[in-house]
Amino acid sequence: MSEAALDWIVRVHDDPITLRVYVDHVIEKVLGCRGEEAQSFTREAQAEGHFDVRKRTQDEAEEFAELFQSYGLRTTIVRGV
Amino acid sequence: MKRLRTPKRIRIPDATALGGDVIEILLSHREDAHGLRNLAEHTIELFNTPTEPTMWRLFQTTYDDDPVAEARYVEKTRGRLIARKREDATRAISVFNTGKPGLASFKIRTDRAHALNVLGFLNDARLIMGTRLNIQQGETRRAEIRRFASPDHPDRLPRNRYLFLTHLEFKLLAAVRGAFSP
Repeated sequence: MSEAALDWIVRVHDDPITLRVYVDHVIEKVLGCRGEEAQSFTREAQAEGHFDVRKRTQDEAEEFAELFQSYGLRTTIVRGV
Repeated sequence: MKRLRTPKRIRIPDATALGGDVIEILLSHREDAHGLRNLAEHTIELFNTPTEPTMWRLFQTTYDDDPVAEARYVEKTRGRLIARKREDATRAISVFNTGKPGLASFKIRTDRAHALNVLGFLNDARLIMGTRLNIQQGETRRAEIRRFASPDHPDRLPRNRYLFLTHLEFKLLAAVRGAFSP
């Protein structure tokens, strides 16, 4: 699938309360990645203020946003450009 | 609103993976377990008022620039979100209602599934407390501690509770992730 087809962005924001290791834990649960890969998302959030996960449909984006939010991560959805 | 009994000094909690499916939470005293149970009960009450300002981190805006999409998303997901958080807090209460005194400690043993519920509750409680305490983005830990250092600071006791939960969440995370398991 081309990058251009991924029209919806699930944006997970850095916040001052959530523990970094907890963010790693949630990323592993929601995205199914582990170790260094999960930690790279967490580092990106700390450096950039957020990390993005691109999804093809709005429904899919909402499914992932709801999952991140159920774990307490600050998550928004934006339309990709 | 229930008032929590708060220690004057922070008593450091701990958690360990004992092998198999067993997680042990170590508290200093039985009253720490009572305090955690009371906090979970209070948190469940707060879920009834999700639009209260200090709850915004739990029940957040998802579509910042699209109120129509936001209203639809809230309608679709809010009930499930509250149900899940209520389940975490309710199961945490059942965990904190168990336990027995050990040598200079109060031990609670539970399984990994319930430990994950406790973890969810602890994170929610910290998000609510951290919002009330106005924990700042970019504030260093040293600056944060300095801000609450004065014994006369009105938020000193809530801050101690927040630190207690932070430490317990950190240790429980390590236990459920197997970082320190034998």
